[in-house]
Amino acid sequence: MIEFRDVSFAYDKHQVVESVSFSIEKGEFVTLIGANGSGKSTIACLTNGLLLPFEGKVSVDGVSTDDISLGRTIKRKVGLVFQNPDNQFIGMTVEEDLAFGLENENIERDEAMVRIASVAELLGIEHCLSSPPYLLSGGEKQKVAIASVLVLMPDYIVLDEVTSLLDPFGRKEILSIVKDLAGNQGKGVLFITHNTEEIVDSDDVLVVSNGKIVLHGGVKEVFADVDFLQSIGISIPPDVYVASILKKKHLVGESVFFEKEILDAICLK
Amino acid sequence: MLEIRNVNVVYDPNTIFRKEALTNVSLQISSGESIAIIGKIGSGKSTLIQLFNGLVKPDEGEVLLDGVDINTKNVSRKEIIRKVGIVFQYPEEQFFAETVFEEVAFGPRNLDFSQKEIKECVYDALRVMGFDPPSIIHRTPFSLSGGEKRRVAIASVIAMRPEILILDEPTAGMDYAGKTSVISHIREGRTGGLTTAFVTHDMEEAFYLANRIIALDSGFIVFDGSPEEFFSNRNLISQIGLEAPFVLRFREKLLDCLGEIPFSKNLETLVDLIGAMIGH
Repeated sequence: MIEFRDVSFAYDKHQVVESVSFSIEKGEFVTLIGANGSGKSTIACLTNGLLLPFEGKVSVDGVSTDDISLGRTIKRKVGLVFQNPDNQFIGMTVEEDLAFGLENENIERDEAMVRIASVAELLGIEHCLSSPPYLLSGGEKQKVAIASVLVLMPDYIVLDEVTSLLDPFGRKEILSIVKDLAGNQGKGVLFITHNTEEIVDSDDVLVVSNGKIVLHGGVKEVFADVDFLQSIGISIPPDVYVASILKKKHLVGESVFFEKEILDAICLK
Repeated sequence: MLEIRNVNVVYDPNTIFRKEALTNVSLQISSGESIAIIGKIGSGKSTLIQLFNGLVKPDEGEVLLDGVDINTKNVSRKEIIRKVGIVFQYPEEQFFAETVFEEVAFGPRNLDFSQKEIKECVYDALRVMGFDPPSIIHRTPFSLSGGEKRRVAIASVIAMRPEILILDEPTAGMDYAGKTSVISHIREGRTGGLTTAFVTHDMEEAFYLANRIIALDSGFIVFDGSPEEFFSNRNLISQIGLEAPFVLRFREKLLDCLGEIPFSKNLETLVDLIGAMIGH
């Protein structure tokens, strides 16, 4: 389990994370949403010790991230994928890129090749292995960035705005892979986004504003207060927005949030 | 007027990585238009906009600005760059100046504008992007919010007084508040007569902001016309891997159970119509 207990962090004197507490279990899909500058990326960097809290404690399977002697173990357990895959490539080919982390971990070549083949199959990028990363499409690049973390077999994976540069098709593809990582691969997933349409299948949602967690709960609990979300700079999925207006007019029930529920409610009237 | 005539662009032509980025592309951009350039990643959108001011040169065909081929030797590069301003993705990552004034003045200064003209251009551009110039020009651009930074970056191109403003995903990576402010000010700039062409993956943005859609697929222009016409062609939209804005998709799904619903671009209006139909 990744656990944040009353964690605060500041860049210089500028406090960006304040008294944040939450946890992520293996197999759980947790989403963190918030406006630009709300502290989301800082929280991502705190999960595996890239940043250390000024106050409070972050632990991974019981080990505190400030335990320097176990820093490498923690980074092996928690993989981070960032927004722009172009900033993360170092290999001349995708295969070299995926092998880089494994070589640094002194993984035998045969074992490395097996892991690369298996992860490439899981993400559907077998056909890209001999291509230079820069020639891939945006969605393929992001899959390679995720694959380069997965080959290291982390128990947890933190994805920071990984869909923001993609077209709608690429977005859906990456989102379905991410859900599979939690649902079928048993990884603990922290998915960071400001696009609320992407949180719909989460087990748990954290809403962050000015460095604080201001809402924490299931998807419908979070979408229950549309006005509040908008007031802290968070967009509302159009179907949730429509449902909120129809609810205010007492034309659909309080349990209606999503497109299918609205259609059912309207068409059954 | 900007005109692209029968242009082909090929990357890495004599290698195994050869890629035909644009094939037989022709289009014209006239004064006052607002054009959304859409298509999947890798469809040729960024290559197309870089043709507009000569950053990418065609392997075949011509790019004409006011009737002159911009890729001929005797054409002034400075003049082309001034007339066709491009705002790239995440333009705020290129900030370098200590104040907003110096950031926005950089372009006009490099184009040898006089001091008086520079001040006028900076103030006008900041106003177009919704700022009160005296209250922001002395601030460091790095201290601004995400939406403000993006608007200052757009202003720094508008300050060069381009005839055409090209924006590559102007709201990419922005939250609700930033996106809303950038869109509303681009719309206001357009109302003021600015010709704009913007690349976007956001179909809502294309639907609400543009009066013309150019759709690309694998380097070919597969559609060039009005947003209403494009978004009513469901086969083409799904064929090129895009989807219609929510307001249209939702209305279509409701037609089966509610019968005819008047067309509306506006989600609030659509909800009012639905409310009136089911409320009685």
